[in-house]
Amino acid sequence: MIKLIFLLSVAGLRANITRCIMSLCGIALGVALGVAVQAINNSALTEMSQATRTLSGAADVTVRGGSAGFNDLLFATIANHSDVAVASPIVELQVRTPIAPRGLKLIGADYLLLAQLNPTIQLRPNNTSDRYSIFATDHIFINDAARQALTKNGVILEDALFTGASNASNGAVTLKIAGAIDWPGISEPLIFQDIAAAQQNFSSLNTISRIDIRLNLGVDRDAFIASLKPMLPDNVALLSPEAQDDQTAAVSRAYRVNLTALSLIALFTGGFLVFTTQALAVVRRQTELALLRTLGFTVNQLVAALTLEGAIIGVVGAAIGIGVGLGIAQAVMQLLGGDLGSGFFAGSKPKLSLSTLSVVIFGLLGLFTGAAGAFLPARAACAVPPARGLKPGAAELMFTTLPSPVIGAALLIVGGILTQRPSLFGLPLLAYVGIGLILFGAIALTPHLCKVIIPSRLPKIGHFQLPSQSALALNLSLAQMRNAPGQTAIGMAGVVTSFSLMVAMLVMISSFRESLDVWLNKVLLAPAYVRVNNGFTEAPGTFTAAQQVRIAGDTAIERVEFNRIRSVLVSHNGLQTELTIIARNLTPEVIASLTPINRTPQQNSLLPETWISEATASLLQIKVGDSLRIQLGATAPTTFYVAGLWRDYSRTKGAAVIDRAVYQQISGDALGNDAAIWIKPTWTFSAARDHWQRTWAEGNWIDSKRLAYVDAAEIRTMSLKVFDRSFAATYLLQAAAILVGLAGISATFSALAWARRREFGMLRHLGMARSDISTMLSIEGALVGLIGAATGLVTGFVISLVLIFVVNRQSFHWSMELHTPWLMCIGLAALLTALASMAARFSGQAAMSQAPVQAVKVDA
Amino acid sequence: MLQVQQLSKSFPPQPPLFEAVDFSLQRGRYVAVMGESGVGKSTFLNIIAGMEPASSGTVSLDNMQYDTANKNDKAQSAFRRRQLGFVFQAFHVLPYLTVAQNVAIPLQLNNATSTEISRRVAEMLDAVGLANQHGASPMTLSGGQMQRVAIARALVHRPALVLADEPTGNLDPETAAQILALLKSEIIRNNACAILVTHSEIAAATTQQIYRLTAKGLLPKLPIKSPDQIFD
Repeated sequence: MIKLIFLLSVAGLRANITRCIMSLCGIALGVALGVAVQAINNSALTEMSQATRTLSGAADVTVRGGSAGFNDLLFATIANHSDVAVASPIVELQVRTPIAPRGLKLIGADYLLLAQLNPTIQLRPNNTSDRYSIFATDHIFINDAARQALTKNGVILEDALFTGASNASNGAVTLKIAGAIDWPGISEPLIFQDIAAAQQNFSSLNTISRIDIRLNLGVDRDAFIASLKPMLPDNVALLSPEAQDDQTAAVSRAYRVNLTALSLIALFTGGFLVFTTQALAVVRRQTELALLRTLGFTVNQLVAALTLEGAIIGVVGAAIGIGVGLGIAQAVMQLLGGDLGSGFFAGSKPKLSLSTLSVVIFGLLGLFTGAAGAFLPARAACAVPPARGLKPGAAELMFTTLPSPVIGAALLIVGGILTQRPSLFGLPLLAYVGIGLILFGAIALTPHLCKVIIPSRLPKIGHFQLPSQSALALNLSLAQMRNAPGQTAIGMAGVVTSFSLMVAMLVMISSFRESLDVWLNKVLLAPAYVRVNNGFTEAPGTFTAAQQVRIAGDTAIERVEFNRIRSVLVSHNGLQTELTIIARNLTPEVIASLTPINRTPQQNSLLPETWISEATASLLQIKVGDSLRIQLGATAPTTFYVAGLWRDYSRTKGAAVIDRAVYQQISGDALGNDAAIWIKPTWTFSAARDHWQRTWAEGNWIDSKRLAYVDAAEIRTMSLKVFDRSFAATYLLQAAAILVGLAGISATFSALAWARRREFGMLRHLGMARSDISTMLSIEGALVGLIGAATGLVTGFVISLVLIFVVNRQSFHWSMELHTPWLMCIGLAALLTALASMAARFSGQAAMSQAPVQAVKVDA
Repeated sequence: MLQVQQLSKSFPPQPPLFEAVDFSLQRGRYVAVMGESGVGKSTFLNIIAGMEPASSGTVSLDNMQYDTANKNDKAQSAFRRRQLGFVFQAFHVLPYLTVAQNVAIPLQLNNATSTEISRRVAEMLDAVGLANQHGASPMTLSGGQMQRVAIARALVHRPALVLADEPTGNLDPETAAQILALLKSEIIRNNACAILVTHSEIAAATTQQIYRLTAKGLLPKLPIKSPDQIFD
């Protein structure tokens, strides 16, 4: 029997090859997108995680500071701890050279200590260097990847020039490549230098990035961490290797989950295409199925055969999808890098990797989608009694009954409740499930909506009356949709799904873009900005106090405001994040520009004030009115009063604004990073820039080559360009979803036209021209498109609210204002309606190729 | 009046189905066309209806000759909707329209006014004995009732010619007899002419004249027997 079922399934597939290919493409598309996203993220994450672990060697615990590092006095304390076997201090920096402008990682370490933790590391001095070159201030060792990065025109630069070194008096340092370093497991470009040399050349002499620790045998790691934690300043964290992995993953987790959810949505729409095509395939095969029932097949056997067909399509689609997905991932990683341009894994060019488990999961998802898409219609088809199924016209009667509207309503309610639940594991998982249920609920209710809103006859509008012939075509369409909503509902479901997802994404992206635009306009108060490009490290360069005074006195400048930006590790409520501290003159104008979401003046105490970003509030679970300890100077941390919450789209790890005078008083740091400049009204930006380039190059007071002069409008344009680029992938997904929806309409009308061929044959006999029937199909297609698009518009808008006010907040911790591009949405709905009308007309015409005289025959 | 002249149909390289058929039918006349299976009865009917092209020959109705080559779909459709009525073996009543809406289709196709549509539909439903089923769904009707709806639909717009292809093929003998009687009376009452294509001697016997279609043409079959004679 199994053999017979298999035979039936294969025969069914062969007989419906076009529809099978459509279903297969739907599944393959969804799986491909899912696999591509998963593979890209997995590869980048694996690479990062491996690099972090390899760089830490066999460390049991790592003490890590923020990107600004921490005082190396701590090293002595830790190294002398009785539980510590080896402690290796590390300086970790991104350095740049003219031929490697994206930056290279530089590790400064004590080689003898490092080698104890990483015995596989080998330094190989070249012929011109001796073994002591390891300790030389101007010598570096590079790995193969760095060698490639520093190779120009096929020739490796023996002396790599690093310009703009902050510790060098002339702003540049030339380092000699003294040999190679073999650091197994590290594929990214890496430069090694002795820690003292690295500190001297590139960072503060008493600053280090981390300390890798190996504990004595028998020491309990967790107990050690617990005992050491109270001794550590606020700006350092004590992490196990597992915690480091978690931290690496956490940086991009929300971004990855959102992309994965998007790809699953693509898979879902692909699954819908399978459902649509299979549902309509069984309409065509109604007589065949009834005959098989008559011959002795049970309902279960037939359902099994049809489900097997879907499963085969699912497996083949998934296999193709996995292959295509890996190809897409490879191509995208070559083009955009491992972060799809988002900046989370910038600079990484990882090797493609996808776990076997992921492959199996996507294979199973394809199988499940195909089987489920086939199972439901198979059940409906096989439930028709064979005697009825054998009668002419049985196909017209399929899917005429609808599931209870209570199911749809229940799905909407449960979905709505789930979207209001808090995040799970820091991710908006319940909100995504809620979105899925809302979508299913809307799809289930759409055919009922048809029955309610579609009139049984064309309504009269005043004295206007259509010629009766035109009214007939319209009335026939209305009656067909009103009285046989089950069949058209199948096609409509695809439209509702794809269009609601499209509207949801459009509203979300539009809201984000508009909010970003408003935010940029408020943040970029000054018309021009001057920044010191630190040609040496990734950290921005600084203006000294003397340079700031001189700039303020420039003839083209009316007013200048300097800010100071620093990263500091901050702990609160047992939570820790690397906070960006922005010290700026907090004039009322600046406070207003922070787009304060809420602000509470201090009542009783006189603590210094800070305005925290939404991400800070979320990550540290801190609210306005609380106090926050931030270590700005070398001494004890300062307690700040959280005076307000502001919106910040640029720093997902959190930021806090404090008054610059307060900052200087606490930290003693008078340096400035960005200069916000108000040019005198008599000057244009380009004239001022030319003036600065010319006059500031005179004398030796500033390295003018490292200065970047930027027009605020240019920053705004560039930011929006980057935004648009990072959302380009979602537009592709939307287009794919719409294509799937249209393919669903086409499949629906193709099958409906086939099922209604007798009706069309009769109407042709009664005097309807072929074109009249095509018009009728166009009207029905347009109605399906219109109602589907209208339902999709409402559903999509609701989903967009969930995306904006729940998913985004739970994922990225920022809020945005709702901006609905109604005109675009309505325009797209109109376009979709027109396309649906055309799809119905053409697919119906193809199905009507049978001559009307044949169609009206009893055995047609 | 229907006039068929030198009508031929062939499907090369097969020998012609029929050749040089001459045939005429006055209004108020109701005839049957019989013949062996595959002789081309339905094809003959379809050519007259303008649904299938003829190989040669002409067909005219009320002195209006039309395109037997079947090239102009719009013109053919306009001709059918004004001049012809059809009754099919499988009824072909639309399940999603009411009985009255089904009957009204030809009038709507002819752009009749809503007053006229209401009046004529009521008249025809009354004539076929379905006045009380006006708003009913066809799904609730029996086969005989559905064929009554089809007859009402075929005559509601007062066509010049009614073409019925095995209209009782799906009905039991008693219902079939009722339907055939109704069809005949309505054709005569509406002053249409009609051709009934059938295999059934009994059905053919209800008409005024029986013809036999052969490859050589349409030959009168005489003498005609009454249904009672056939049953005896």
